Amino acid sequence: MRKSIVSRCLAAALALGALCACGRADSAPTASVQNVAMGSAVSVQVYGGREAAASAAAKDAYDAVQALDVQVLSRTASSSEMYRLNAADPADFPVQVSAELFDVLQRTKEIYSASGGRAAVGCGALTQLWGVDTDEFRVPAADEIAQALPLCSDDTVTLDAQARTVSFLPGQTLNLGSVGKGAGCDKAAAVLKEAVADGTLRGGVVSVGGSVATVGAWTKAGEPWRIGVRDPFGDANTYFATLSVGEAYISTSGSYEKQFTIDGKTYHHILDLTTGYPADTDLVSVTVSAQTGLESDALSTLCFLLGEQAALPVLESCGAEALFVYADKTVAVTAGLYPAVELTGAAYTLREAA
Amino acid sequence: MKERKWFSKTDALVLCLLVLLAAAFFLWRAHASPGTAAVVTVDGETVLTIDLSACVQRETYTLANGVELVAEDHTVRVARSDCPDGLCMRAGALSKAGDTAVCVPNRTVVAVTGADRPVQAVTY
Repeated sequence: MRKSIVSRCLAAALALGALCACGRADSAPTASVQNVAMGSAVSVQVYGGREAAASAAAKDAYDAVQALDVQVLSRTASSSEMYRLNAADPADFPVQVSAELFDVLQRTKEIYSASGGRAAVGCGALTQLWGVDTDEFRVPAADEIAQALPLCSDDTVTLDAQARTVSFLPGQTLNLGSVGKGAGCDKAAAVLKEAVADGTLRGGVVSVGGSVATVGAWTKAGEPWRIGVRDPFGDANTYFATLSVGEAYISTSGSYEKQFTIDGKTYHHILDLTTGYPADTDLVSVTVSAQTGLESDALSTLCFLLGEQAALPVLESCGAEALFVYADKTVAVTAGLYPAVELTGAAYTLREAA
Repeated sequence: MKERKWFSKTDALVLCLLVLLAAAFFLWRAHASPGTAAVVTVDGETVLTIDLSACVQRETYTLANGVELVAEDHTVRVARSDCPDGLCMRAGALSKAGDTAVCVPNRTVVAVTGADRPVQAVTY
């Protein structure tokens, strides 16, 4: 007895059809959200699952970022805890804050304590002077900077973990601008992780103003996520390298991000609190992959300020990896991240960080 | 009665045919236009979708918030916006899947979607 050719063809064609269907479903997100929050673009793409549930999960992830901004971290919205804390009468110090805000303040202060005074939570006086907060840049006079610097140290920011209270000097202002996007990624990633755990999604990726979190997998086969690293010398939509990663939190600090030129001199926005001026470095950007979004965001700023050599022990103590990009287009990558890097842009040279 | 072979000539023939068919299909898929489109959102709501693979002639779109988009030659760009920084306009012409232009003050995002994006996100 022989099976008819027809039935054989039919079975094979069915298999082929299923294969193609898989390929298509794998390549595109099931749902996505694009919007604005924390003063920047936020995008959420989710993979796998049914469209309605996936779409709801993506929206929940965005809402979590927006809520963190409006209720907790926003420097300008009077609805936020951070705003109220900065506006508080120093006579009322210490002020009790939510566990959420306290954790962000504490972890950021911890990480910045390794910066040798270059970065601090309490840096608001200086960022205001330079107009970094409002995107209305100016070069302050030397005496303005000299007056602001004593108000820009974390030595005078006291966090009491038991009472969950915060106090700082009168005239001092706290600024979490350098970690807000990373903290937003943590909130969104937590929503997506829950959706992956209960089978609503296979995976998802979040970008909050260029801080990225990946959760689960995007393809059924569990292929690594590919995250582009913005080309510091290229246009807004170009990248010069890709990172192949599993679940990860990735942030970048670059001097190309917010730049302004006055009297022929170009300034960037990453201020060094030991000088009061933008960091004087031959780095143009640092990308960090860390255990949390907040850590990746804080560490990318820290690495930019400290430089490759001094940053390596700090990265190691946090279990984080980094990619340093220099003005001469040399790229130094820590050992753990090195195999994940693929250069896609010409003229860059890769070496291991040391 | 003829003994049944594990793999007959007919099987081999069908298999060859299918491999050819599959190859042809994947080639066709690789060459077919992925159908890139520009999705425009305001406050997270999609207000406009522009099919870039079909767009050749210059066309201007004005959103309710005053942001003006110009699509031509398979690209789209923000041509006018009242925002102070003008970052959305500086993003230039968008054409590849993943390209975005963002106007934070107007809560407007223009993003090109398509299946041919080699990365899932970009860190910056």
